[in-house]
Amino acid sequence: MDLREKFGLLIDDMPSMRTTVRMQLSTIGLEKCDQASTVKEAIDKLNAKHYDLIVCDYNLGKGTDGQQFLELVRRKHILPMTTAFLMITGETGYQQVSTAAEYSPDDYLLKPFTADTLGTRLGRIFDKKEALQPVYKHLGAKVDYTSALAACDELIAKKSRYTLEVLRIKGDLLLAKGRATEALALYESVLQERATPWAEVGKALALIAYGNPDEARSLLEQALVAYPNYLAAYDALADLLVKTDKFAAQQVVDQALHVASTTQRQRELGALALANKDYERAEGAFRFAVERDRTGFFKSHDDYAGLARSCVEQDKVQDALAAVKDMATHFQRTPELAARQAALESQVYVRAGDEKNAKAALLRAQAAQKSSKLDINTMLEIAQACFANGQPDEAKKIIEDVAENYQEDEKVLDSIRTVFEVAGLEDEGALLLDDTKKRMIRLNNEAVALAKSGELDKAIMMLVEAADRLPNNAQVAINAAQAVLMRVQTGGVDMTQITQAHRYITQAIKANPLHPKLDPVVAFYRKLAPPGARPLEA
Amino acid sequence: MEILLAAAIHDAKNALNSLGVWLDKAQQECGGQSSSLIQAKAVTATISGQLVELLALYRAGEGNLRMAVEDQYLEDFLADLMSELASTRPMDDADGVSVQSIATDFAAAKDIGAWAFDAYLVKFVLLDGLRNALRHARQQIRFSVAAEPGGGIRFDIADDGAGYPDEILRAESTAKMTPESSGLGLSFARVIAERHATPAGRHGRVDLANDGFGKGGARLSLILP
Repeated sequence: MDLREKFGLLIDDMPSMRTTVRMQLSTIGLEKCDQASTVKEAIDKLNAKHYDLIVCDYNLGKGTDGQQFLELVRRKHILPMTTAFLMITGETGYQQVSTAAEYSPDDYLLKPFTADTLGTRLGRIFDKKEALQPVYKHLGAKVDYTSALAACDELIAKKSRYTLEVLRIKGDLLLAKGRATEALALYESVLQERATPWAEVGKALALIAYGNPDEARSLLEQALVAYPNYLAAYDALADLLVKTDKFAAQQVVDQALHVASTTQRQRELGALALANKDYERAEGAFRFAVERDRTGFFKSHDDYAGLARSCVEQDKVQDALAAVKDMATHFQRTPELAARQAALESQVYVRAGDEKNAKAALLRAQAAQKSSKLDINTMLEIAQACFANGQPDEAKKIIEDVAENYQEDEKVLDSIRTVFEVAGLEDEGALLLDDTKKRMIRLNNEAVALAKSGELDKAIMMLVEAADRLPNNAQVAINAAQAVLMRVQTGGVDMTQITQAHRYITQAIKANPLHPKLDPVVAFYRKLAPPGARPLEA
Repeated sequence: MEILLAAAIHDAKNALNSLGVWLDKAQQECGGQSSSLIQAKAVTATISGQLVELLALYRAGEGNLRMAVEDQYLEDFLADLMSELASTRPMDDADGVSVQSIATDFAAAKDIGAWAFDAYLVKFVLLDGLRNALRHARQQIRFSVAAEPGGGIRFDIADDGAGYPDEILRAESTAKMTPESSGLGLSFARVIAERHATPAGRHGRVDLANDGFGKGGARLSLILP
């Protein structure tokens, strides 16, 4: 393997280790190598330049580690799948890396190692990257499922040593597309040949998608007996249980934390413990998330919000206020941060019986809400503060807007339920969500009825108005595009309408790239769009 | 106390790692020809392996042995194993001439492709088995991998030595101390084998027999589900 043409990035907080590994890399021919000593520096470098290889030490100091870094850059698509990632670890780190669930490095190397070993491992990684390149190239920030699946099938037909790896990717893609039957068949055929943990979990996920959660649950529980350190199995089981039994889900996350204590899992545990009114446990979990990472790179506003809430619920008013104040020292001062802090502060003051300060803080939060666009969690925090301050109508207005926009996002709807629960208005919450859902269904039905009865323009008007108001509702955007395209079909090509359809489809892709109704409308667009029209990147 | 024990083993292992680095350096300094240094390196590797085994057994006893069961490409795994063995292999006699040969049969590895197991722990089981065979073989050792009928894979290490003493063969589950061996390696192998399991309830195992080379030599088989 010729490494001379490759660009490497070496990440380690210890200068002496960087020097050693840098020398070993150059011994095996990799001369072009940048270095970074912190996560921030590494991300800046990744944003500025393409690298073929990252060599990263597990321990990065200041409560950060290479696994967190890997998860962050893969999740944010800063690091393409085509870039190789080698993790260097001591024996302790090895346990964390080797059991990592969602994002694992291409390989890990235990210290101490020789240049020869490093060379052998890198050779293997690049060999695999090259073999899987036809698939990886479709798995960027925008996943091209159709092409990626076709590439998988081609590679599987060729039968290489990487077939198992390709099957694994194919399974993930099928699951993401909701093609449960095919995914199930794939995993079952793998398991007929061999026992391997990823296929067990894949089978369980396929069963869930297939509508068989009970069998999935017992499968995952059995898998955990055989593979008690396999984190993906805990994650899948916790995800499944969250819908039906939050106490059981909390237990599962707790078990996973004993295998590997990561910020992400502490955060999950905190959220579940809050929902289960286990405030002491919640406080511990959020405190871990907040305190472990001393760089501020891996924690979020939500962690502090969770900490503040778990303190408030235990009547630790000062601790709660301290947590809210602390946010300002760790995050950039944005309107979002100011609004979140104010909304949280307001709730703490309500609890402390300080009505005046509570109102003042709420006003600040509402002012921020009017002047800038805020993320969902901040919006819901403001709604929560409204409830706390005895302004339920204000709260519901905010929530209705979020609910219409994120009608198909179960996670958001669940957050909304939690807001009502905290406010002690569970039934009202269920009612509001139900009404919103019915309203959205009615809107779509009426539009379809109008279109069928020949009043297509009226239908278009209705849907376009809704799609412009609800940019995150994929279903509405798809229907709007569909209606506009029907007009093109009957009335002939009109570039304004083609452009409009393009815009709504793009909006839908952005809101939910995996929406099941997306493929047909994309095909419809491609059929009608004249040469020269903007192509769709779906 | 328990934490102290684990930490002490850990520290000792790190110290051995740096001893190994120094020995490499010394080897370079004297042109790579010192048989004493080769012997010293072999001893370091053996102790290091024993510490890994000790730590794993200790953790298993405490209920926190962590296993990382993952697909491993058998060919790569075996190549790494053999190169690690070669770099830490003792000399057989004072002249530094190796009289024992290890014949390998890895043909099945390609067909099997990848198999899921904990590469780190299994590597130490097999290294220990091979080092043990090197100690007891007269001339020949055979190391092979095969698909196990009914599911699983098996590694066989056979030698043409005197075979296992009766008390070891009879004491199937508990390793016994003998003058030559503390039984650590065998206990470790059994625990690691047993901890490899499938959701269907199949477990790995270690088989011992005195049918190596058909002449009563020792054979150790590690079967992984």
